[in-house]
Amino acid sequence: MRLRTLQRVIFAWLIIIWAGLFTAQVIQGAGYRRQSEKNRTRLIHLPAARGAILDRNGVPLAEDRITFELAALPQELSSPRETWQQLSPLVGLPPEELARRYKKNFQAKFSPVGLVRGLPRETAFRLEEERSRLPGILIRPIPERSYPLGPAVGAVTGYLGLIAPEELTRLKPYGYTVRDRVGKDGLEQQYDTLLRGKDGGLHVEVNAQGKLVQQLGFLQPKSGRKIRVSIDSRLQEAAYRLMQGGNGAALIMDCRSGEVLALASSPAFDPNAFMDPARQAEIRAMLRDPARPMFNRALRAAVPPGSTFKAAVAYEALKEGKISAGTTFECGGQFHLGRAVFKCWEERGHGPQTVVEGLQHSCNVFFYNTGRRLGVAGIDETARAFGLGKATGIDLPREVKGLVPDPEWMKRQFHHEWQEGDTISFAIGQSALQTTPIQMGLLFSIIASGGWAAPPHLLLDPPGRPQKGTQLRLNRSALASVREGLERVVNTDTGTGRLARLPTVRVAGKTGTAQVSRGFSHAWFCGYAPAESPKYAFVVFLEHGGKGGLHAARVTSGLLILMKEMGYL
Amino acid sequence: MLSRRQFQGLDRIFLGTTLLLLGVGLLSLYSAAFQKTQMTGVLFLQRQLIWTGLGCALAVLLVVVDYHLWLEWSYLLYALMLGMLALVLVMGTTRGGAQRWLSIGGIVLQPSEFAKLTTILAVARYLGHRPPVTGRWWTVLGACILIGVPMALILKQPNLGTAAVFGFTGLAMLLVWGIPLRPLLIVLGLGILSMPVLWTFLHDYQRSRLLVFINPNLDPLGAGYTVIQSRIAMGSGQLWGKGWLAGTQNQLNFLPERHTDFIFSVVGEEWGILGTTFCLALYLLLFQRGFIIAQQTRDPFGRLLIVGLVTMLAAHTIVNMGMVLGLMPVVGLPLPFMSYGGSWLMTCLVAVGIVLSVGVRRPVF
Repeated sequence: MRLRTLQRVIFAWLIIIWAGLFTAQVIQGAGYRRQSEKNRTRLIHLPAARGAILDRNGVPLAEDRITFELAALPQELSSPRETWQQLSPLVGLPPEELARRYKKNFQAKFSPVGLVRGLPRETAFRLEEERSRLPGILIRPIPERSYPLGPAVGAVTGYLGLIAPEELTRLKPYGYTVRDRVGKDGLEQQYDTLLRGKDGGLHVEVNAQGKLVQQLGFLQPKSGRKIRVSIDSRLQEAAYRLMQGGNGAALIMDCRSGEVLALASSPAFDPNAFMDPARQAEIRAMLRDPARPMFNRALRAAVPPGSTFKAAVAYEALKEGKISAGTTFECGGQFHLGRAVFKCWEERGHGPQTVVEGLQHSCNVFFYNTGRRLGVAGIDETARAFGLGKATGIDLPREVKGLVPDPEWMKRQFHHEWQEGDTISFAIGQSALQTTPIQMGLLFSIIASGGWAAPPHLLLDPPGRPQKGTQLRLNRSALASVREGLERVVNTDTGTGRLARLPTVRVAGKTGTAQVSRGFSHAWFCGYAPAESPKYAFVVFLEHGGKGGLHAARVTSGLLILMKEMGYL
Repeated sequence: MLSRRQFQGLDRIFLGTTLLLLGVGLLSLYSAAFQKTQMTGVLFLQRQLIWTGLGCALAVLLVVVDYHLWLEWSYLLYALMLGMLALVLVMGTTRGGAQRWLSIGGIVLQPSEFAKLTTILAVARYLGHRPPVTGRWWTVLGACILIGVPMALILKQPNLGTAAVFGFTGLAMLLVWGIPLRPLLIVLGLGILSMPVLWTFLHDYQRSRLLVFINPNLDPLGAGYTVIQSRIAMGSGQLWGKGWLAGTQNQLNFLPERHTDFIFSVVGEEWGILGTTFCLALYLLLFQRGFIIAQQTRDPFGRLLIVGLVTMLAAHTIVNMGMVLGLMPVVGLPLPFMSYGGSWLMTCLVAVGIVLSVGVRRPVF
């Protein structure tokens, strides 16, 4: 019967399996037992190097350096105390310290325990030669991330950290494991998949002394991709240094291509600190610091742009024909709306002002009048057209959108109607308007390039998705008046930004002093150079930095002098 | 409900071997998951215990209720299962390159495990209705389609091992039903000859597994690593084993997947050939008892059902052990009653419940 046949087939198969079991466990059993005995075969994890991040000239902003680590393998360490005694003079640490570290870092009998990191090369080689005398001691080459520019570049590169559990579930299919470090911010996070390599391993059989008997397998670690970005490390460092540790941000971008040459945020964090277990305390202090060094102000500080916004308002009013180049408003230092009084920063008043003069002197009264003619809808339109209220799309994580207020927003948020007074203060970049330094960078680069909106970006190589710029259709004569005003801000003796004037390059810009509810005003200085044929747009933002025409203008001129020296201008 | 006479007809040997295998499985799982639980915090043993309880309850229910009821529902169940398999391909969870899991409200299911049961039910009903004399070729074709559709969906996931189990099971059922032998042998021969063509349809990882099966040293750290380590574990158990919780290969994390597909290498390492022979004997006894019940029953549905279920369990056992020993390619088939995993354990216990259910309703001499 067929049922019998089936029964016999299955029986026969089970006999074959049993024969297999017998062969493996009894006939070849002794050999396998030998292989399985502790420390016979070992998997050595070979970490892959992470790709370097280079600046536009090939100077490394972040790179992996080979460092040597002294480690002990518990299952081969026959007499720990003796070994610590022998190691002590070689590495320059007391034996008790070695014993303490061994105890602290011990995980399991079969996994190496790290003892000393960053051994000098000569010491590493000496130890390697002495290894026969030191059973259970090994020297591991470990690629370690280093950021040569330290804090100056933290805002751009970001830093590395151990992968978080929730991230791991998301990234596991892409080959990430628990011990991986991943980019936590900046370029390290943005381009993590490009930068990270693929770890390899060595599978070896060793004898009881830990000596290699034979290599059973080898998987070559694959290094990560190297990337090149548009940052110029000298400019980046200068931008950071010129802010002198005060809270703020400074950036320089190419108006035509959108390439960002410097993007500094201050105070900053040193990304190297995250790679060194000995600097844990420093990281904790950084996280508690009220000045928030981990907060990238260039992308995430959304504050009122103050008078720098007048450039956009002036353009819109001219374009819409609400004012002409010849329209004058009389500034007596005050502006009355019903019973409310709006002041100009110049209490004595500026007298009659045209639009060019209004920009030159940053006359509030001129712009109160202009704003009133333009209305909130007009100002909203211009703000959005120049890219405010949405992220610029720079290739860095967690950029904020800022806020362009409108009557509807006012109703939703505060349950009251938009007042004409709101329009008046909106026109001078106050009210609820919030912009980030990178957004202002884009705004001024649009003005500088005659309407070419090139989204700011960093990656140069490998060429990412092409960041297409768009040509905005701007009114030429309106733009020309605005640009004349911006030139006069710097290049006349009554201009508010005269401190940024340079003998060698003609600079155009606009100061901003944004009032805040508490403390000193925020200082802004935004503009471009050279004024006649603009190449670069710049933004300097100093939190509670007082008047935009003072420190912010000084930081700017420092940067521009360096750019001239370096041949950018 | 069962009558007293029926209750006495409960196959004690079949039931006893199942319970023994479950016990050995839990002991091995405790050892295999010992390190892993400490590392990941997942309570493997506790979860498996819950599933064992649920599965046993389900099995009792299946013994009590007449299995003809399931046969009546079999086409509906079959259709439902096809829907689930299609759903897996559309919105399933992907792990290790294969899309096999479906998560519904936090519970992760592997529908291909249940598909084995429903397909066997449907085929048993289909063939049980049609005696092997009349219009047999149409009937064979129908059965092949019944088996082929879920098999194709599972191949697409891709899950080579489970698809192969479908093939073996279907073949066994057709054989017992009474398919003519000569044409069958010709078809099988053609199938073997067409292997090189099939090769071109395989996924890269499936090819690498097959190549590495022929020579594990091709990739000792990647695809071959598991097989080498598993064989070392198995062999190093020798006669008596290294003792419970003392297997170095196991406890030192040399064995990947040791709590699921490679649980038998833990048995081999810790209990030696003594333990593995004991387990093998239990499986042998289980399958032989299954076939004896199949012989005794007069019901053609019941017989086909048992043949299908027992062949499924046997195919899993043979392929899994062959894989652990390095005699067969690594295809990811779990071992009945022992491997960790809820869907699979439930499937095995349901199979046991149905076999016992046929058993209590066979004529008693």
